[in-house]
Amino acid sequence: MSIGCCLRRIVVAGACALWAANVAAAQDSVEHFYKGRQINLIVGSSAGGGYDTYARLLARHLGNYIPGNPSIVVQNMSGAGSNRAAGYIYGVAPKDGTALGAIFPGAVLQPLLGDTAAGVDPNKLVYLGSANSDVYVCYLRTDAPVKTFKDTLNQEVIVGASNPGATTYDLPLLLNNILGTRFKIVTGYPGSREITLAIDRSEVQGACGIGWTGIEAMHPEWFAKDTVRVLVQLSNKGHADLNKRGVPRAGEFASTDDDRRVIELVFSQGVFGRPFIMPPGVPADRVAALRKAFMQAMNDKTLRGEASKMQLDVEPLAGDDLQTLVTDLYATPSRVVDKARLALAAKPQR
Amino acid sequence: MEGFGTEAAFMAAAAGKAFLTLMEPHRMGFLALGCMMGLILGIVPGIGGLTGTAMLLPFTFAMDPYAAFALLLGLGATTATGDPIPAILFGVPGGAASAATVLDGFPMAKRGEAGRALSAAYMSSLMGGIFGAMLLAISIPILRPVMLYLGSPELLAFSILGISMVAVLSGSAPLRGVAAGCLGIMIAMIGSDPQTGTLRWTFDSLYLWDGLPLTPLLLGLFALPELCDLLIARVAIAKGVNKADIYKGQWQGVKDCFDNWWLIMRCSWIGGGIGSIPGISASVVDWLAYGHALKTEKGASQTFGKGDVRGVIASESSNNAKEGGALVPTIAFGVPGSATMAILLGAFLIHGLVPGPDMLHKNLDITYTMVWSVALANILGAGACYAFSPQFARLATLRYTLILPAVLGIVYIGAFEASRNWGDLFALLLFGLLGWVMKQFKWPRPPLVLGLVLGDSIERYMFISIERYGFSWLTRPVVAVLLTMALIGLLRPFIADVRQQGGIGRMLTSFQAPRFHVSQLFTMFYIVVIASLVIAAVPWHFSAKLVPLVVGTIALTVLSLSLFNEMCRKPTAASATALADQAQHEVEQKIHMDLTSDTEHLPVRTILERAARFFSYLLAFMACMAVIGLIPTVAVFVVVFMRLEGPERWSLVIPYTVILILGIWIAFDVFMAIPWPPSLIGQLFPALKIIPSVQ
Repeated sequence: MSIGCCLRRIVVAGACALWAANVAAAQDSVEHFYKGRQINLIVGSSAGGGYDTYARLLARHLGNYIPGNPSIVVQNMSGAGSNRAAGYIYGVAPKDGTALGAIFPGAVLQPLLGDTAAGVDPNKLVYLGSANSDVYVCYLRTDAPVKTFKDTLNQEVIVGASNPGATTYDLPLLLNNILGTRFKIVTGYPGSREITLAIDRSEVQGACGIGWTGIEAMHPEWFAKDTVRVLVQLSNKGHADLNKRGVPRAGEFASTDDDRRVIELVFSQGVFGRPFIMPPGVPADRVAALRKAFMQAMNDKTLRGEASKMQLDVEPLAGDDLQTLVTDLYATPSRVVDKARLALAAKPQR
Repeated sequence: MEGFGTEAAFMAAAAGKAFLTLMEPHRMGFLALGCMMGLILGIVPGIGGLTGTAMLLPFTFAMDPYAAFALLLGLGATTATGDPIPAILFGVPGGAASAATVLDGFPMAKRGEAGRALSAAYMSSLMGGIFGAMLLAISIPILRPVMLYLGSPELLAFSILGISMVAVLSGSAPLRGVAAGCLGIMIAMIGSDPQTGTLRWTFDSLYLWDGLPLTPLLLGLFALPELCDLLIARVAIAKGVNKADIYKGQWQGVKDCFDNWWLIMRCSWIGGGIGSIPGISASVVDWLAYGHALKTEKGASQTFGKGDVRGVIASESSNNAKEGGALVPTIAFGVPGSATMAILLGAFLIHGLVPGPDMLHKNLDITYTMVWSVALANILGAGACYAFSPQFARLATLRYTLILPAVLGIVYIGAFEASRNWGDLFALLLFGLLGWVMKQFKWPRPPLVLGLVLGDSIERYMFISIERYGFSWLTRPVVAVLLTMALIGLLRPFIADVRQQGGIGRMLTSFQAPRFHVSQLFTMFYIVVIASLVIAAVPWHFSAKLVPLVVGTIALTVLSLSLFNEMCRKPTAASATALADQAQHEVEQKIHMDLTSDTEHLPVRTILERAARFFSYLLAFMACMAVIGLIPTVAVFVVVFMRLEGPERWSLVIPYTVILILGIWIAFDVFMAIPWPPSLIGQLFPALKIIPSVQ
């Protein structure tokens, strides 16, 4: 055994010890910081909505996994499609790790694809993670003349939508402008539940851009009696159940590579269906501790139990992964981005 | 026939089973607990049942579904029971659907009849709530077919019928009423437009993206003018009321309700019906019921707005019935009729219930427990209110220096709670000023609220109807009937007016050279505002500007007519007729459809000085809030106000302030967890952030 080897071992062991001590110190300092503190979770919608339900679910469990067990208080700050809450987290909230935000995925993509400035650079936000991924679908009444997705290229079909900026409007518009489908978009329903009711009473033939989660549970009679059929998935990877049933994904119908990339860019918001954010500049050790706690809380048995009771899908995406995803989205070639912007800005044919 | 019999027996059995299930002591306990919380939330202006229900939801996970719904519905159904208390006592609507209660309830309190008004309000709330639940109970078998029949064109027609009430609610000033209604619709258009996403009249502010929230507007339009006039008059709201009067009044209020049971029945059906239509805001049911009563009750057009108990009864019976109505679409389709119902929908899923046909067959007993819960909650809620009623009624007899600081402080926080934004406070101030000026110059305010609430749904459903059906929707039978009713409702008062003036020819000849009066400045200002809004709308996309331009043009037309009328109408045009005609004319003279200021005995100079003082307090309040945060500002405001205006003695001021601040802190900081806006001292000295509401 040479001295050099020994020395190396000692150095390595020392480094290891130092690293371990550092980690422990970081853990200690994080714990020290959060002990007895309160974290405010700012929700970008009013009490009772879907985003609020997820946020309150997380708030009940997250504190148990953060060193120091801080209390977590949900605060609602609705407005401007959660852009107000995003702006608050981005610019106003304390940057010490005591403020979290729950915003809409649209608020992450809007600065890239929309034409209204909200004063937030989503690339600079720190992402805690996402609670679920949503697979948007188009579904139609079976008594509509259109039977398959291919049919929609030749035949007009009436779909209900709420407003520009909502997936029920943007996604069929995107398909019309990129793939050449002929969705006639009837706009103005207050929300997806009202659209669903309109489908029930045959006022519209279907809808495009409603999340698949919970539809079966809410409308068992639709699929049991085959009165409504899923036409296509508006998602890059698709939902396991729907893939099994052979429901196609819209990306498969793109004729050029750029078209496919445009579609994938817009659909990407489904991957992070319920994003949670922190302000830029939160100390790295606290970010790491919070991200770890987020994933632990999301896999907590009681949380999963409550979620399945409420018919909420939990499919967590880790903070690091979401951060990389957002960075990648914002690095999309401008050619593709411009095309997507154009496709979403065009007004529907009347 | 036999099928019907079995069906009825099945329903009765389910209803009976549901009643027995609910009667279990622990379930009744939860119902009572929900009621208590609902009452407290209802009394404080600006807090509805929404946050309360959202916070309670997790606690219901472990309960059985019957107990869970008892708790949640107990809370939801009674928030409207507590609402009339501030409405009657201080003229401050406790919730969006009790603004109409102010119109007759507040004058009654001023007359010293607060006890009677409160008692009538509870009793009609109680009866309205029960009638609403009954309507729900008997209509269960036909719920789904009826709801499936009502499409967007029908919703549009309902909204138009609702807005045609403007004609009734404008009273003696139809032109001004229509103009106010149009302004209401235009305010409803503010924000991101549902057709094209155009940001209409948002002036680059995020606050306006989703449009102006209703609470600060209502508090501004109705509460601030009353509080301002209270400061101007410098007296107690009611004078010379003794204890015996209050108890006698209470009994009288109950009797009033039984005398007018048929009115209550009709108004509660209006409330339940409108509440059950998803997609139309139920926050105007009070006005619709009030308008209905005004049209149909004998002599109402002379006495409503001056403290007629029937006005209170109409408004309160309708708004308690709406919660039962809102259950309908939630149960039958999973489409919540109100925000509170959306949370209830979450509770459905937690307990493994799926809204839809099953709720009307397999789970009918659960549906009936909900009906019973709503009915029983109304009884418990009204009972609790009766118990405290004499104490409440005496509040109206207190000096204004005791009433104003607490009420103003709570109005401020209540308005801020709407979207937790500075914008709420600016909206409150702006609409407070507008409301006060409208009240002084006798412009009716109710049409503005009607336009504000219904404007959005009219635009939405008009576009959907036209896009979907072209114009063929006009021939749908329900649409045709509703639109005809709306047209008659709109035109009849005008035609009657024209006749009374001796025909159009006569009206056109009784003019004089223009004369100027100060009050015309307001009409001119109004024209300028509408015109600037219209000009700003011109460059928008066609679908985005269609409704704003049409409504704006109507407003400008009626405003010009109104101005012309004010300037050039001969004041004695009617007196040329014979004496008998003149007497007849006076009887037929319609009332001014709104509260009038009882400060007319004061010189204009004093009124203006004191009003300026009032609005200066409001401005100072906001400036102070920017520096030291909201809750400390309330403390400072209360102390300064009581010392300057009274002066009240310190031994009263200090406990008063401490109790008020403690209450506000618990309700808004601890319970509601409002995210407070940054303040100057919080930014300069972060250590001070431990003070509640300092950020």
